[in-house]
Amino acid sequence: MAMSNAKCREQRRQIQLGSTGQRATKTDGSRSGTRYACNENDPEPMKPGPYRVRKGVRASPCASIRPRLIRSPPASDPSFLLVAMGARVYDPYTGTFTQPDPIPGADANSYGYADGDPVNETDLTGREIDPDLGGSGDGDYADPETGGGGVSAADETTDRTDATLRDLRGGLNPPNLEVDTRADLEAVFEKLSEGGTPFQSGYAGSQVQLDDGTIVGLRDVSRSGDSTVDVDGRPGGAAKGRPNVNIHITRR
Amino acid sequence: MSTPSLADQILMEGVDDWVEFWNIDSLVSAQLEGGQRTDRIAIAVAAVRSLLDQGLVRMGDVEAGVGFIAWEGAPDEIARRIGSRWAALLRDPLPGDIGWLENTERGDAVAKQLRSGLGRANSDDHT
Repeated sequence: MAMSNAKCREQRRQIQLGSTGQRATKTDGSRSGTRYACNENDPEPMKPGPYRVRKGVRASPCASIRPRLIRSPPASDPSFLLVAMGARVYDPYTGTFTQPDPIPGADANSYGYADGDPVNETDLTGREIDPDLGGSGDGDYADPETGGGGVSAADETTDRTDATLRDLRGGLNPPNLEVDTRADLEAVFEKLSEGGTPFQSGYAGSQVQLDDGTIVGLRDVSRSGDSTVDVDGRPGGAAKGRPNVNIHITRR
Repeated sequence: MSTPSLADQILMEGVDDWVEFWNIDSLVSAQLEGGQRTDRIAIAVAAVRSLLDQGLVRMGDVEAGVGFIAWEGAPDEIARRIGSRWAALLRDPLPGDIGWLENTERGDAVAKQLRSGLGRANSDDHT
């Protein structure tokens, strides 16, 4: 049952004033953008702060990237809340993302938020520190979808990958491709993965991510028992026109 | 010649190898020419659900050195698990995400019929 309007207003007033009796303001003088919901089950008034998001979602300072509440707090644990922040899910209680950074090596701690400096930096996309929203510039990374720094290298990689795939024989199920032997498959993987960075996921084999975003994997197991190469061109966007391809060893 | 349905495409893909959800997402994207992520998930899960219902595929995990390990559960429960795993990713699935589909013997038989039908249709188109 919702609390009365008067009680709700009083709780909001207490939150806004805080223990010092001063209205909460940001360093630029504007008032806090945190939104609150009032509920009779709340054990204590909520306090504003970057690690104390409980019943609402902090308003994003960036209109185009809006963090959104992805899980409602269960009645047994009113402080339980996760926030969808771009590419990843952020846990305000631990102050970390629940998945590793999709850009390998972007942060010393791949689960960390904004290089461990949430006061001075933000990371609303879950992929990079946002320099326009308080980032220092140190540790910022070019977004492969928007380009910036290394676009020509990415284009070269895309062209090289496409050329390698074009040289292979078409499989029974287009656009999948085929080679004759395991040695041929390993040679193709070596060629495709040249210059790539190791990429961690739940994949049953070795994976690398190329600088155009393409992920190339050599899978140890397949339905036929042979190894297979998987080429996923979507993550970086640069190779978006290319369909995802499996390269199999022809079954005789 | 008409384009095969998504379910038929998944089944034909499954003759060669286990099918992953990054492949399925790619097939749906091609059909929708992009489309919203939530629409792609809904369409893909509906297609997989229909294949599970007909006993043409199994859903499972693939582990290095072990192979395919089928999930237990009724088709609707498995479809729900797929949908929730996919939605929780908050991005397009990558190789290794969500799980894998394996054609059953019946699924392989149907897929081979589909392929030969497709082959005939293609050769008719060229004559």
